[in-house]
Amino acid sequence: MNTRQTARPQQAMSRKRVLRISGSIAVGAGTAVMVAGALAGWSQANRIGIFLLAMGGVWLAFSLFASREPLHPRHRRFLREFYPAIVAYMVLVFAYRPLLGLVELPLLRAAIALLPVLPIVFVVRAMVRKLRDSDELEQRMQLEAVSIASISVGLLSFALAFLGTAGVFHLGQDQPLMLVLPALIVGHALALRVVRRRYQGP
Amino acid sequence: MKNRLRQLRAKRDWSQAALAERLDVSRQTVNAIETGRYDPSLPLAFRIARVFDLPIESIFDPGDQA
Repeated sequence: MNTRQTARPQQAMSRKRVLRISGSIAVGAGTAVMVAGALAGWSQANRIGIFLLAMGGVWLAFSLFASREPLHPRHRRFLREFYPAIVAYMVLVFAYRPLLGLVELPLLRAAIALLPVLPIVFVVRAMVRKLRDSDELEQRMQLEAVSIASISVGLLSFALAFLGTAGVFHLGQDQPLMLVLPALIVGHALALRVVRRRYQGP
Repeated sequence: MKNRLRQLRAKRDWSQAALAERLDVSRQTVNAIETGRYDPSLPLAFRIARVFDLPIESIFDPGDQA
């Protein structure tokens, strides 16, 4: 018999707990990066720190409304696959630009520029596996959320493009296409909350 | 579509989670069916009927939709 387990029963992993833990880690990491950047005089550290603090803040805010129910094994597997991939993405997305400055060879530059795409492939794989294992209502809610997010992001980019050609609005981004996937992910998360509320009640 | 899922579940003293496990769906799906927010697919309706050992039409009532 495992005496350690009897002394301290393992707390079930719930959505609330996952969001609290990841939010705290992101806030801690963001603060550490900003402090380290200030000490080392690294200018990009502020951007990374603010990004991590904002992300951690959003997760902690979502944790206030999240369910305490233990996660289904398929959801736990999703988190095991999703988190390492998204952390790798965040590291690479901030590392690839400084790396590009060190390389001249076009092929090598292309390989480095595509580095952040690789972990996103694993993120998408985790999402597809979770979706395929979900029950019919979850699949339906996901489909509705994806449809709403795609149409909304499509319409938004369409409108912004027209405003851009009129010179009224500029995203201030050298590569606006980089915003499409994050916008889709955020749009999907927001749409899913609305769709869930409709099927599951307030 | 109306259904008697909540009554049948209560009669057997099953929680939503217990029924969900028997049906291999999430508790949220059982709740959505019970509250009439979601109509199950035909295969899931058959699974529900099998779990309660009743014909589908004695659990689900299509009402005016029929």
